[in-house]
Amino acid sequence: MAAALASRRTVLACLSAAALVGAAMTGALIGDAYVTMLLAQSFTYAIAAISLDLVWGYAGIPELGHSLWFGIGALCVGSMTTSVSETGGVLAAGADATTYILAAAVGVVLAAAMAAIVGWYAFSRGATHFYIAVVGLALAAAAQPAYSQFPRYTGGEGGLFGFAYEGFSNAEWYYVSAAVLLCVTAFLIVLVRSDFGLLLRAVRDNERRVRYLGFNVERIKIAIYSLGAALAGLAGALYAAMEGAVSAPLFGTLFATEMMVWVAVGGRGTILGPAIGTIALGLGGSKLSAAFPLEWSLFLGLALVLIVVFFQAGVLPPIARGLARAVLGSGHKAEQNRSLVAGRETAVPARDASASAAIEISGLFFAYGGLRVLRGVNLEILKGELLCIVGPNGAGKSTLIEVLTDGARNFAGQVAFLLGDRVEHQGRQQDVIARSGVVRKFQVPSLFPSMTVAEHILLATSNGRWPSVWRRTHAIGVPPVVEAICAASGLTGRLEEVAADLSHGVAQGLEMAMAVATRPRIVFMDEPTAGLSAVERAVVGDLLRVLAKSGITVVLVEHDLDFVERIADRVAVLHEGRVLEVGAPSQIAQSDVVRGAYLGSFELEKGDH
Amino acid sequence: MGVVFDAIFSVSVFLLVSIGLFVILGLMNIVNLAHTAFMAVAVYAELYFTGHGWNFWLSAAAGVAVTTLLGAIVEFAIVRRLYGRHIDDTILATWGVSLILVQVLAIAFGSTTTSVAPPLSGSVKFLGELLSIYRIFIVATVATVVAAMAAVIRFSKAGLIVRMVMTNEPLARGVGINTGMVQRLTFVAGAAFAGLAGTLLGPTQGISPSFASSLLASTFLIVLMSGRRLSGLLFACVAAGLAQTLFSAYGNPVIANVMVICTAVVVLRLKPEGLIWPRH
Repeated sequence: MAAALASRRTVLACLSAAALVGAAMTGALIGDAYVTMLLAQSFTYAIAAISLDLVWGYAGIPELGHSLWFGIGALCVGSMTTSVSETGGVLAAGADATTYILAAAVGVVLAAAMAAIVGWYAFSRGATHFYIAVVGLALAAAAQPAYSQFPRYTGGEGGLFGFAYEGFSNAEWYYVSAAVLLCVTAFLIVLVRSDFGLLLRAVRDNERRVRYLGFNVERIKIAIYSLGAALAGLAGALYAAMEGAVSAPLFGTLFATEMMVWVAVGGRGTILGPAIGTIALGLGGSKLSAAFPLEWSLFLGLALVLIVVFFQAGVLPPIARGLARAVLGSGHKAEQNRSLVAGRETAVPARDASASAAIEISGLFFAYGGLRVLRGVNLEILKGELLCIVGPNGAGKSTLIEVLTDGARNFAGQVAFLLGDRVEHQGRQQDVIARSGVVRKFQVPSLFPSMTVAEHILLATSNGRWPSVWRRTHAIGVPPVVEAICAASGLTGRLEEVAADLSHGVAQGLEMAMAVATRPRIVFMDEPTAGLSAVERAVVGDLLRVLAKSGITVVLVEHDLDFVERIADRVAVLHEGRVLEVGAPSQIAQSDVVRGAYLGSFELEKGDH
Repeated sequence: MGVVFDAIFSVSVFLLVSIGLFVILGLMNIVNLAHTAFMAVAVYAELYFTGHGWNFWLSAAAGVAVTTLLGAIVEFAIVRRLYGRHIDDTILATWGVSLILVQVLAIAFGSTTTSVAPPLSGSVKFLGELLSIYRIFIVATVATVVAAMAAVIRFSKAGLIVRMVMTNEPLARGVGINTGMVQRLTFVAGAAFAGLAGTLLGPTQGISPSFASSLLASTFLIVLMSGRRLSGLLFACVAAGLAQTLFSAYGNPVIANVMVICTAVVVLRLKPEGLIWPRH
């Protein structure tokens, strides 16, 4: 199903691109000067729209103030090609081509730099998804009135005007803006189809999981926010050079909303949709808005409400899909898109006999608010061992893993990782820990609903390094044991299925495959066998042994004590936030202390499975 | 001394406008960007009825009634379909509603600025300052409304239900509270508050279809700073009112509005949970 969609998407992309180029070519043939300029103008809007689509549609950042960047680009061109009196009156306008190009470059750089600063400020850890929406809205709401306060640079209330670049005829403007639009469109299509584009969708789907795969999510968001701003600045500069006018409304929330309507109509998360939608709305809109200026704004509002409430996919994508179905027929068979290939083994030195510590934990305390969960954990996890952590519900097993994979948690006590150098754990962020080769498999599968199995594994293999912004990997090199995990959990034939369609057991397998695909040195696995049948559990047990044998340190949280006895090198018993006893499985099973403390709950646990 | 009274009035205006947004955000987790458009509808209804010879108070009551009805219609037609959706969806949809309402007003009444006469004219001299009686009336009304709301939330059974839905909506549903109905009523109540704000503020400023829209961003930020507590709302309004008055006194109103927005953006970054007293 997903595969069929993928190939249909390719055909759609070709059809839409053809439509876009076709529109670009035929528009000029009409020859009407008014229509030509109108199209040229809507091309600049289209550039702004697809830059917003990158930020909002692909990276999922709710950007309510995109007009700001467009305005900055336009203002730079306006300000650098006019001379203005103290009170904002335009004294002279126009300059040579070099000045325009320079001004546009300044506009793009300024927009990108300001967006980077705003992004750096707004995308902090702990700031809600909501906050950036607020910041965008606030910036646009503040920029429009602030515009009139700097007449020396902005022309004040009246704005700047009359500075259009004289060197181009209407038709030339048309071709220039069409060329820029096509270049930006092509660039963005390559970007969103690349491995990096995959990372963007992952951030949109499940930010937290991306962090645990070793990616610095904030940096990705800032980069995309800044890139979107740069492209919007370029669009604004082009618009200003063509129209020769800039004023406060270009910065305002209304214009920002209009951009969102373009994107929403064209379809969020499709680059071509917003481009075509903007041009169509620009053409129809100008005729209509000239004839019915009040009703046009009303129409925009209605369109926004209807699309958000009833047509979330936008207006164009369903139409385009219908067309594609008509051309291809519904039973079109897709080609396999991505596959796993055996890559190099995980580069971990074989288990050394000295059994030195990989993680030293002493006196670890941690509380969720007033609930004290870890109350002085002392534990040494050895290199290359398979350690099982057991204990009744509420003993703090999952919390221990949570704290060990997120050094920014507010814990007390000593934790050190000894992978090469000794690294103190305190204050280290999730992604830094993941990049150092310490990864985790979540208890409840935490996946990217809209992405395929293969795409999950592909992302995991990068282990925090930014993937290529132009290459689209088809053959994913993974350690052989990942292929074994996929085969064992029934993922092999389902690489093109989206995660939302996976059953719980298969999703568990994918979680495990992702963790191992990062080529980790330490893996924390929170209940990898939950939701699996007895047969599957046995297979997973064998795989875990394979992992440990290859030199990876495996730390397992497990309830099933028979399973633990069969696979573990050592067992640590956690009870009420303390480690009660550590030792070989047989030793733990015989231990009187453990029995004394646990008899009831142990028997119950056994009965459960 | 004049600055102090200006500040008190400014705080009251912020409270009046933000209280409707506050209940909707707190109980429904929805940001209603159509709030100031609701206010505009209320003030135009007031204008319409006073134009037909009704007295001010009756017209104001009619304005509130019209806005309440409008709130019910918007809830039924649009907001109801957005429960549980992503926050950007509700922001966009209510923003769309706002565009529609403002344009309908512009088409129906024209875009020119008009005004409505205050029902209480004249002023009193207090500590050497001339104070408009109508402004004093607004401050008193806001104080009464806020005090009544605090009492209802704190002491009544309805307030208990409201607090339950605010803290844990699924649990409240689990113990048999019709949370859907609570949320529906909340949106309508929020619209009624917008109606109250619009009709009360009508005589204090010029009336155009974009009535009060300059307040939208700042009140939205105030509500976020409230930390979803009434005390926090009070706190945030005082902060914003002081900033507004001080920057107006030593700069100009435009800069003041921009500064309020910037202050709020900074505060929200430093204290994402809002301006609330720590509870221990």
